[in-house]
Amino acid sequence: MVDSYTPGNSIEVSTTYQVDLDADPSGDWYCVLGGSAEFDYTYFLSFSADSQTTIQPRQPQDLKSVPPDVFTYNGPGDYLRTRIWQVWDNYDLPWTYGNFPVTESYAINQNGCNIQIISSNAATNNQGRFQDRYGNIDGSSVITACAQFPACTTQATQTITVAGVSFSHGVTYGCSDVQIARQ
Amino acid sequence: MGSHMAARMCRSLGNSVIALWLSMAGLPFAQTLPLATIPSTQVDHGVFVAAGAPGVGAFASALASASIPAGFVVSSEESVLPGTAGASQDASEVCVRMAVDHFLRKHTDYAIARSDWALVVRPRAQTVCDAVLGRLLPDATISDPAYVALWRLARTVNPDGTPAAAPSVVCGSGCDAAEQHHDSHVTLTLSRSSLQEALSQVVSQAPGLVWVLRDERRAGQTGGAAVRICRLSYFDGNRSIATSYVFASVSEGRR
Repeated sequence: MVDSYTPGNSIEVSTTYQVDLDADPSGDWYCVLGGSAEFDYTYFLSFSADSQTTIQPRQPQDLKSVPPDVFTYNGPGDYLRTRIWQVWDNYDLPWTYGNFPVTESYAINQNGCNIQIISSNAATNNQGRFQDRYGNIDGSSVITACAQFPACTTQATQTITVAGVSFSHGVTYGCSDVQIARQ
Repeated sequence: MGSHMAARMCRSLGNSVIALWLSMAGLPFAQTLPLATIPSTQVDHGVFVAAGAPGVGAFASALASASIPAGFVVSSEESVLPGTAGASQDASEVCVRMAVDHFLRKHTDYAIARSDWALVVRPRAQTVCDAVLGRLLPDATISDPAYVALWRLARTVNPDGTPAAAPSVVCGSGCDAAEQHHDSHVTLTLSRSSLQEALSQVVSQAPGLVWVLRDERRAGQTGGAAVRICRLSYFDGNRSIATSYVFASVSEGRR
């Protein structure tokens, strides 16, 4: 890492390349070749810096829920909430990049309703937004435990990763609602 | 011609893969693999691509999407996200053996474990899941939807780490009402069966499911020692399903 330099000076960079070739599996032969080679380069670079910006790490509040937030409720333990998310930048402006990969995972911390939670990959739309759904898969089947334990809850940490930047918040499923809270 | 060549490749490569598996030493579990358990099924080229992707999740998800019965034990450092490596532009097919071989070459810290029911992938290093996977379960018959059968196995192995209420599966993100493989009805016959084989029976009868046990670290409560737990999740096609079922836990100071 070079923090400062004088234009015209040389910077020596050593790069290691991993060569890994896989033959086309539809071909008649299959082989994998492994190897490595080291190359030494000398780069002659010239930069001009017009401004300096400090990039702040993303915070949970940078991931915001955008209306509409649709909530369908038919009976105890039978609901489906739809929420649309968008990432906001340091200047409180929304990211509007489409087709950014969105991955999600859950860690269940307390599971009184014995809920198993589905997650899947998605991508942002052309406005930089993506949709989540919380509750019953088809909106017509109840959470089984609610018949026996009407006050049961399942608390989990949902981690949403947008273009490699992760945001975590708490999600609590109950028999009549789902609550989403900042951490 | 193409299928003939592919079949020839499967046979040839299968032998080398078997030799590789049988030659592995130092694993924390029994390491022999009957020929019959090595899938020779043809799968989409995307499975091969996923096998070479970083991490384990992409391959596990690809196998689930290809309806190959499989199970994974994942080390604590490994995340279990589906990944996006399965999107191949190549419409050709490869045999599972090739994909497995590719995976093992890219992930040298993993190996194949013996199983009569599924392709089981485990870390070479010891995990907190090892002991419980080999535990023999009481003889029984379980006849339920797959996701309920998994809960019954968890209740059998560790009732303290598994909720008493019957389970349900809900949306956590972006899911829809597409086909749910975990709803498939399974009938398990447990007769001197280990936990690993019981889990593998489930996925062998519910194509589209792949079980995952993850060695996780949990911070100790009120200043106590951290705990390593063995927690179940599974893939249903390209979707990941989280459970809270803990099959085993060990205080870090005791490992």
